Amino acid sequence: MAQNDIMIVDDQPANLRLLEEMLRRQGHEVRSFPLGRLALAAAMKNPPDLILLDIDMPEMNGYEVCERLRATRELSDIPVIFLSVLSETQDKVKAFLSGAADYISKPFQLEEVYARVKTHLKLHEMQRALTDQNERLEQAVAARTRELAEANQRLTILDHSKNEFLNLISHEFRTPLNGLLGVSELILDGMSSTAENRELQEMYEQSRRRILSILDDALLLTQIDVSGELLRSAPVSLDAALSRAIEKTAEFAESRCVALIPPAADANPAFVLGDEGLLVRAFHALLETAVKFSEQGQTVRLSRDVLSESTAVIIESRGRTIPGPALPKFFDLFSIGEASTPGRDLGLGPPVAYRILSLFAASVSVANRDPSGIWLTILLKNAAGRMPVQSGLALNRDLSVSLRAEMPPASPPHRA
Amino acid sequence: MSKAEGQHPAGVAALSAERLGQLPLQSLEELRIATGGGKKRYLDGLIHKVRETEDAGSAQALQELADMYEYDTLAQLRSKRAAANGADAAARKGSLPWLKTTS
Repeated sequence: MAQNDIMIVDDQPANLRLLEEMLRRQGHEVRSFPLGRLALAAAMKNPPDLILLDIDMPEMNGYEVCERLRATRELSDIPVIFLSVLSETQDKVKAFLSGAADYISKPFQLEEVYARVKTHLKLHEMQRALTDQNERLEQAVAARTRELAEANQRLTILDHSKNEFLNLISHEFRTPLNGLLGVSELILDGMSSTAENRELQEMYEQSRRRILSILDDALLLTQIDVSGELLRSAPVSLDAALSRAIEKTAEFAESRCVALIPPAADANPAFVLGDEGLLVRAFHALLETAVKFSEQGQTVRLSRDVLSESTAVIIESRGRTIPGPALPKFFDLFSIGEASTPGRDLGLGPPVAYRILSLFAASVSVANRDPSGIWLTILLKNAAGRMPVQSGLALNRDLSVSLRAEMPPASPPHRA
Repeated sequence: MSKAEGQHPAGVAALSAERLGQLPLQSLEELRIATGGGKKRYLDGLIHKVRETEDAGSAQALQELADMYEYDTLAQLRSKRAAANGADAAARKGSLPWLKTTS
């Protein structure tokens, strides 16, 4: 065992001599004191590794010495072994209450004293090692936390920049764009109705719709990132939301010569958690996506299935499939380019739908249909109380109003 | 301490501050360090040195005190010697002209 510094405090010189001799033989450094006062003063200057402490001493008894050691931060963890002729249980209890690590009754056997000293020195050494290790770990954790905080700060700045950019393109582009669109419409209206001009008008209309849709989606994504957590879910009639979404998508589907087939009538109304306005927008984005993956003359079919805790909405298109590598990234921003959906750009529809649904603990997944087309499966949480709430009333009103304010003006309903 | 407060071993009688005053200050300082640190072995070594180089009588008395772990008594003797030395020095400097030493 390594040499340790052991302090003996006893008013009996014979005991001091005996213990000193025994501990020195074991290779320890020994300091002896006849009074607790002297021992405390010496321990303050140079804390020992262990203290053997008599209880019954003049001036200051062992209990008091031990309590003072425990009350001194630098000395509080030094193991103290009491040596006493007092052998009543209450004396031992009092010793332990004052902070003793162990208790040896007098007359003592040197072997026993040595064994206990050895054990407590080992324990103390292990405790110190553990404390050191904890300190090192805490330092490592603190350093790692600082690194993470810095990384988080950098990410926050980047995220903020991204949101600012999206806001910029949404807000600042809209004003000049409205001017451009207005002038273009005036010019197109003044043109004679030839086949060539009608084709130009059609191209213009598609481009107008596309650019407005991307601007609105970009703004919505930004607002979800910035203040989506303020949203509160409320029971929403799924059938009503789906009907509105179908109505909104009808004109677009008609332009692609794709028929939208609503879910079969169900006597059991489904109420799900969400915000009707936002759910309509998510369904609309997914319906448009399904239309884009359809060929002319085909259908996009909706179905719904009420489960115990959730309701599934399935949108099925028959046409193109998604290339395998693009499937896992289908709901990421700008994940699918023209190459995957030639002439049928997806825009921001899938990520918009994904993020809206995430706000309400709902989910959406995509899979290729065999032999052609895609499945879009939406899982929505059922509302516990099936009481319909008027759209927007249960929401954070400011966000709800601001989100709707940015939506394009509703087109006259058209059934495909 | 096993003895009643105020009582000292027999050796103390022989070890007056005056006699201790004959010991070099260096030795007294070393004795102070040894008793303050509870270093009995070191104390024994110092006393042995006193016996061999200074004053065998003082050493005997010191050893008696050391063997009884009378650190307080040893400290008191050293303090008295230091006080006496301080008074001597002050008197020599004339800073305290009204104080006369007895030695």
